[in-house]
Amino acid sequence: MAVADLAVQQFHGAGPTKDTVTTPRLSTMDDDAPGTANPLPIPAAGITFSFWMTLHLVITNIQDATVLNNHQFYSDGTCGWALGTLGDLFIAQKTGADMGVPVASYNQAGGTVGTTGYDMDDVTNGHDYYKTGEATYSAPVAVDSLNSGATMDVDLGDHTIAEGFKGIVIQAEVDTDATRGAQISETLTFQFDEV
Amino acid sequence: MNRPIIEAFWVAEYKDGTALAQLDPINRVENSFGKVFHKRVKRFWWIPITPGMTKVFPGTRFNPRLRRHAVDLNGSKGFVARRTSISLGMGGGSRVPVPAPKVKCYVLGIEGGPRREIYPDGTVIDKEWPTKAETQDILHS
Repeated sequence: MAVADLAVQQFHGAGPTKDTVTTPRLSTMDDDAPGTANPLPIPAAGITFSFWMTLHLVITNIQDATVLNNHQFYSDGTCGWALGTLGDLFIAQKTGADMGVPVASYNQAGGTVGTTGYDMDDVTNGHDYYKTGEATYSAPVAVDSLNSGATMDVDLGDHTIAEGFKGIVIQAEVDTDATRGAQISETLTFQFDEV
Repeated sequence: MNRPIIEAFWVAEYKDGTALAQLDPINRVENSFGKVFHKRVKRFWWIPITPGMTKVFPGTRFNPRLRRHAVDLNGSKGFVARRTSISLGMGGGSRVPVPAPKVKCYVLGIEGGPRREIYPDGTVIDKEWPTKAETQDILHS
């Protein structure tokens, strides 16, 4: 059947390294499989950031498919994470036709391992493609504002070979009144058209 | 590699009465959408997989809720697409099973114009629909 093989890959490291993920996990380190290491600390004051996470839908084998396009992203619509008053799970945005980060515009996550990541929206240390002041800037939004009826246009372009779509960049923010402990699983959905 | 189960296949019906189908059960071949001569296409169809075809084409399934649908192009450029989703569980203390990619719906329409979404449960949704008078002859079920 004309069905391409696809995977969701987390880009990390300086290269970047591209690893297929099935249960991605945010942490305060730049790693696709942090396990329980370097979880997100609840700050005594201010806000703690996870290291931002870059996820790309990738065509690993085009098989007999002719074209794939119209890549959308959405969540289950309700974030069940207790991240505190100002805490939430955010996703970077852009104005324009589509909002995903091109593969060539990858920007490695940084911060202080085990303590906090850089705010992806920060004008100095933020994500080079998305941060305040960049062209076609748009403020990050809560991931749970995206659902099957309100999707994010990640990449509307045509893909006819095995390659990555534009990606998404997400980051958790934790406030002082967050609830300690493991959080429930959140569903992230990567959608695309294929023929 | 997990792949979605396919329950419908496209057909390009040409103006001269011939057609190119994605799946040809007689010759047991699958045609690429890249073989379609778009300028000659009169209609695009999504046709449900029949029980017999499931024995010929692995990865397919018969879905009795699906009906065939077509779009008349009337000189415009049409398209068909299979909309697929991959969902991941992100979190927390527990790991959840990862669902296989699944077909959300089958789409056909006119580029920049109306389109029809055909869902596996039989639901049909028409989108970007101009006035009824302009479109009454565009889509057939």
